[in-house]
Order: sequence, then structure tokens, then C-alpha cells
Amino acid sequence: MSTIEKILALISSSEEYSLRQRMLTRTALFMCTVLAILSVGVWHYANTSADYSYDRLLSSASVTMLDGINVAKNQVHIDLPYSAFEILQLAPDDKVYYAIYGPNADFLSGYFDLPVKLTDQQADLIEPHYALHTYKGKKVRFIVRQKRLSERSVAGNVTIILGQTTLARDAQMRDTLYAALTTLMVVMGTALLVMWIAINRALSPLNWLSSQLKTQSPMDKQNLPTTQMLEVAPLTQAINDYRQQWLSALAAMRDFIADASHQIRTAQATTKAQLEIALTSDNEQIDKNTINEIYKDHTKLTRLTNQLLAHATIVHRGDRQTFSVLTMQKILQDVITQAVRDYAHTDIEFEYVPPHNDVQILGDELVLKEALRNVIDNAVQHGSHTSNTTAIIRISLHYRQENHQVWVEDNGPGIPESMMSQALERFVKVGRNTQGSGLGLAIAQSAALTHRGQLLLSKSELGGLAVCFSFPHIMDANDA
Amino acid sequence: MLRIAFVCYLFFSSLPLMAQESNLRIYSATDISAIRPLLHEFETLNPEATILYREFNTQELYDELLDPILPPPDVVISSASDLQVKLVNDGFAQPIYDVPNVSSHQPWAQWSNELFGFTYEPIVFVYNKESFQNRSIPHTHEALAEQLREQAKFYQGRIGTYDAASSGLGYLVASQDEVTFSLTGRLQESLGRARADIHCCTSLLLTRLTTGDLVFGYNLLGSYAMAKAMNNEHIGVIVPEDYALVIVRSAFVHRDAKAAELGADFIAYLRSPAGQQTIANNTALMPLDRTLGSHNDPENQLNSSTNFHPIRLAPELLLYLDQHKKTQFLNSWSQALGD
Repeated sequence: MSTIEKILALISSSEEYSLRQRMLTRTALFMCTVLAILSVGVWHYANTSADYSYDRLLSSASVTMLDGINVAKNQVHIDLPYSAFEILQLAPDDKVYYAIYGPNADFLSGYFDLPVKLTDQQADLIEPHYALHTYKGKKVRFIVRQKRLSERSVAGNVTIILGQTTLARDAQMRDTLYAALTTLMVVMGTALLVMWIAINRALSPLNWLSSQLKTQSPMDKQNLPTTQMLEVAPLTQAINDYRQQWLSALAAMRDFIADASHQIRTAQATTKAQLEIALTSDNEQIDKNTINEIYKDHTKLTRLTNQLLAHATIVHRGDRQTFSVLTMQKILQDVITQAVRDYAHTDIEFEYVPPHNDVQILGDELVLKEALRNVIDNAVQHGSHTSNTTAIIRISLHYRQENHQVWVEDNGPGIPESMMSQALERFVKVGRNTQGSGLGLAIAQSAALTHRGQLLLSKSELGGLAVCFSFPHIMDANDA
Repeated sequence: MLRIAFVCYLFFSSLPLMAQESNLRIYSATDISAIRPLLHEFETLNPEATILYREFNTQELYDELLDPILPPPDVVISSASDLQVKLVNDGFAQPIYDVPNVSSHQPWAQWSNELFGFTYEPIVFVYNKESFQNRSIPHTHEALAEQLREQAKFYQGRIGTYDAASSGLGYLVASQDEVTFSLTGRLQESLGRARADIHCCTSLLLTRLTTGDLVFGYNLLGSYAMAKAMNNEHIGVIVPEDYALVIVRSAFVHRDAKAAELGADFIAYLRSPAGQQTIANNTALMPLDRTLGSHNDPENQLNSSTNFHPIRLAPELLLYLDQHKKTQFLNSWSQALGD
């Protein structure tokens, strides 16, 4: 047993292995076990059947012999019929021993030294019993059979003990055993062969797939050829889907890079143009306005760059799905604290409406913070800048039946409803503010989507834009 | 005393004291004159072997083996198949291998791999030619029974047969007659009424038939009778046409044989083509291989379409050796043939 375990351990511990070989080895091991178990059964069956057939010979011979035992002239008269021993001739090479005992267990005829004990049980009268003994150095199967004599002069049981050596019996047992074992081996061999063919056949789609994939370029838009095999179809379908996703992700990336480089180049060109204008000016003194313009452009460029990088980070991290359980209040507090500190020099008023319960979601802390920060920045940018009203940014967290929601509202002019969906696209700037990069809401939406949530824009009751993040409950997130 | 009288010690070599293993001790119930050519040929084939041959009556041979006085033999040969089977059944033999098959149609000429037959000797009728000059000779058992009834006077005191009581072979033949032929009882009674002459041995019966003391011999061993008839024009041999029992002379290697291998070689030789050919051409015996015929059988009666009943070497022969069976059979036999 331990060797088998060792082999199994060896098989499973090795890092690379052949599926075909492992399946075949295990099947062979299993078949060997089955064969061993069946062999024991077959051996038992062969023994029983040989005993059965040769016991019947003994039984009928003993019955015939008993026929020749009668009472004559007030004595037990023994006249054994010739046919009795002719019956035993069916086992031609076997030797025959017998003994006949009278009513008082007195020896009458035959071999007096047979190793069988006489019993005087009533049951023996009906059923003969069999026993295997060694006599004259040979294995001998004996039958003990009794017959009741009920004459006035002689009353009691005569017993006949008839034995036969077991040559024919053993030979038949061996024949049965070998025949059955041969059949078993052939069946097992065939099964293994069929198994081998089946395994090869079952593994052939793998070869087919790899050959198909090898010849195709990964960028190939072509799908794998359709297969007739129902079991393989989902795999090719999955590979096709996977590739399509990759290709679309790649396309999105390409678009993004194109957009981003365009944006950065434009911003750089603007800055450069401003600088050139300043340099070529006749004035020795550089106009403060010009520097202000350059500063603005530069700020815009920096912001754009930061946001592009943030966006790339979010998209990248979203792909990796390293989510953990987060407490939303904590995250909001961190983000708001940071924002309040950053905008301390402005007169923006931050409001925080905490929820009644703890809100926990499954998510990426960094991505969420970045997204929220962007939305808040967006609100600051687009919020009210008129001096007679104080800019208010209200951040609230709601625990809802279907999801969690984070609302960020401002009292600025807002976005017309017709443009709201457009506002979520990259590099699209809506409204009068030209300082924005057009990336803030796009980043937030990416973050919401990677958290299996949504980003919705609506009109706030404060008058400006309301941005609503919704996140699924932890259980739903797991299920999705 | 009687036993000693029958025993004749024979040395078949000028060097009687050789190494023990090269001595082949054969105890046999076969006339030495009938088997001598075989012994000679075996010694020629195995120059280092020395054969010690001792002749017994079948029953005496059996008694000697059960209750030995002499050293154990290597090979035991007898024509009394029932006694041979009994000895083998009781473990007096040892198995030997590579003994050639004389014919594939004769599985009964061998029992297990211990007892091997090597001759095929029919039981025959022998008659005195002069006495039957103007008479019809009975060719079947039934015809004999009829003649015994109808010509009681002719046969009175002049028909001879084996003594079943004292001869092992006689008992075997008489008992097998009973098994084979349903009218045996009637025939026995007829023999009894005819005051049949009962003898222990074929040779004595044959002598009396030659002299004309007996006119008819019932159940004589065909081999000896035919050999005698070859050299003697007074007697004729009839293989009964309805059925003829056949005695298969058999041999086995004794359990306690000192030269078991040589014994096995000897038995293999007896059944080999050379041995069978020698039996056919040079001995009084008849070969187990029936295609060879016998030089003592010029009329080729052995291969005529007679209904031969070879007595199988098989445990069924044990049955008539049962104490009760034997007593009963001999009782009825003596009553029928009673003095």
C-alpha cells in the first residue's frame, strides 16, 4: 500500500506531467486492483464449482453403493453394484477409498483406517456430509452417507464413507480459474486499449486548438474555426470572446493614447506658443499677464498629466481586481479631510452627511479615493464662483436597499441635461470652464465601473450638478 | 513352502554383483520364458543394467507386496489387473513420466501415471483337435453353454478352466465374465454339471489339453495358448466371437524402488515401438499395439472383427476385491462349479 502511495505522491508532486500517462497509469492501477479483487472471487468460484460437480459424483456413487447394502439372513448383506465405481470413472485418474460400517459402528468392509470420524447424528441420515482429509499421502475428498436398516434382526444405520483423490477436481478448478482469468485479462487489456484510444481522442482537440492558435497571430481579428464537437465549442467560444475583449481593450488603449498624446501635445504647444510670444516681445519687462497665462496653461498641463496617469492607474488596477472590504465612511472622511486642507485658501463650504449604518463595500481603496477626489475637484472647478453666494459642496453617503450611493453635489451652474452623458467621455469639457482636462468624470466613471457600480449625473437640489456613485452590496459584488 | 516352490531366482548377467543402482529388481507374474527376450533386449540397450527377475503367481505376488519378506522390487508386473489397480490405489506405486503412448485410442491401458499396460492378451477357448474332428466347435459363449447342455456326456469331466479361488487372474476373468456377459451364471452351472476340471495355471490346462485328458479349455489366457498351439498340432485356439475379454498385462514402479529411474526406463521400453515389436515377434505375449499382430497368431484372429472387451485399468476393478463381494462371488462360483 505504501509503495502505491509513494508512487502517487511522486506523480502528483512532480511539476510537469503527462495527462495521458497519468490517466493511463491510474486506470491501469485501478484495473489491477479490480483484477486482484475479481481474481479472488474467481478463485473462490472455481473452487466451489469444482467441489460442486465432483461432490455430485461422490454423492451419486455413494447412493448407488448404499443400494447394494441390505439385510439378508439376519445379517447386513453387502453386494456393491459395479456401476457405483463406474460413476467415479468420470474422474479417471483419481484413486478411490471406501469403508462400510454397520449399525454398531462395526467395520464391515473396505479400508478400516480412513481418517474420517463416524458421527451418529440424526441429521446425517438425511444430508450426507463432505470432508477433505489426507490419506496415504494424498488429498482425498470424502463423503459420509448413512442408510437406515430397519429389519427385526438388524436395525440401525449403516454408514458408507467414500473418498476420492482430488486430481480431476483440482484440474477442473485450475481450468475454470485459468479460463476466467484469461477472459478477465483480455477484458482488462481491451479496456486499457480502449481507454488509451479514448484518451488520445479526447486530448486531440487540445492539439487541434494549439495548432490553430499557433498559426494565428494574437492580433488576428478572425475567430477560431467553428467545431462540431459540442464539448469543445464552449472553449473556442471562450477563447474567441477573450480575444475579442483583449482586442477591444487594446483598441481602447490605442484610442486613449492617441487622445492623451494629442491633448498633451496641444497643451505643450499652447504653453510653448505663450513662452515664444513672451520671448519675442519687444518689452524687456515680461508682462505679468503673460506669465499668468503661461502659469494657467502650465497648471492645466500638469493637471492633465496627473489625471491621465491617474486614469491609467485606475484602468490598470481595475484589471487586476485586488479588492478588499472597505468602510466607506473612513474613505470619505480621508478624502474630505484632504480636500478641505487643499482648498483651505478658498471659501468653499464642505458638507458631509454620514449614513445611519456602516457602509461597507468591496473595492480598491486607492482607486476609490482617486475617483472621489476627482469628482470633488470637478465640483470645486464647476462650483459657484460668484462672490455673493458661497460655494457649497455636499457629500452624502446613503445606504439603500439595492446599493450604496455616494452623492457629490454643488451649487454651481450645473450641466444641461442634454449634455450629461457627453460629460462622462474623456477629454470632453462641458460648460464655460476651460481649465478642466475633461478627464475627471471619466476617471470617476472608470472607477465606478471597475467596482461594478455606476456613475450617474443629475441635477442637484442645490442647483448645480449631482454626481452619484452607486456600489453594489458586498454579497452582490461577490456574486456578480 | 508352496511359495518357495514357485519362486525361481534368475540372474541375467554374468556379473551379479554390480553397483546397487544398476540392479533392476523385477517381481512379475509372467512366465520367464515368455518375457525373456524383452529382458535381454533391455539389457542390451542398457549395458550397465542387471536385471534380477523373480517369478510369482499373481496372488502370491500381491501377498508378497502387502506383507514383504523379500527386498522391495523396482518394477512389479502382473496380468491380474484388479490386484495391480488395488496396489496402485493403496499407494504402492510411484508416478513416472515420459512413458510413451502406444496408441491414442487406448486410454484404458494406463491408469493415472502410475500403472501402465503393455500387452493385449485375449481370453480364449482352447480345444483338442482330435476330439473335435467330427464335431462343431463352439465359437461363442452361448454356443458353448448349449453344447454343454446337449452333449453333456462328451464334455463330462473333460472341460477345464481357471480356478477363481486360488488364481488372481482366474478370479479377475471369472468376475469380469459376470460383468460383461449376462448368461455367465448359466454357463457356470453348465460347467459345474459337466464337472469341469479346475486348475491354477494356463500351462497345466494346456498340457492336459494336448494329451487329450481335456477336450476343451474355457477362459484360458490367449497369449500362452496361442504360443503353445504354434508348436503343437493337438490343440487349436478360438477367440470367442460374441465377446472376448482382454487382459492387459501391466507394470508399475514400486514406491520403495531403489532403481526407480531404471524401472521407469524399463516400463517406457515395454511401451516403446522397439519393445512392442519384440513382444510381437519374439515372445509368447501379445503387444498392446494391435497393428503389430503376433507371430503366434498366423490366422490373424487378433485382428478379426471379434468383439474384444479389454479389462480397463481403472478403480472399478476394486469392486470385486471388496471382502464381501469376493466372498459372495467365490461362494456362488464354488457352488456352481462345486466339487
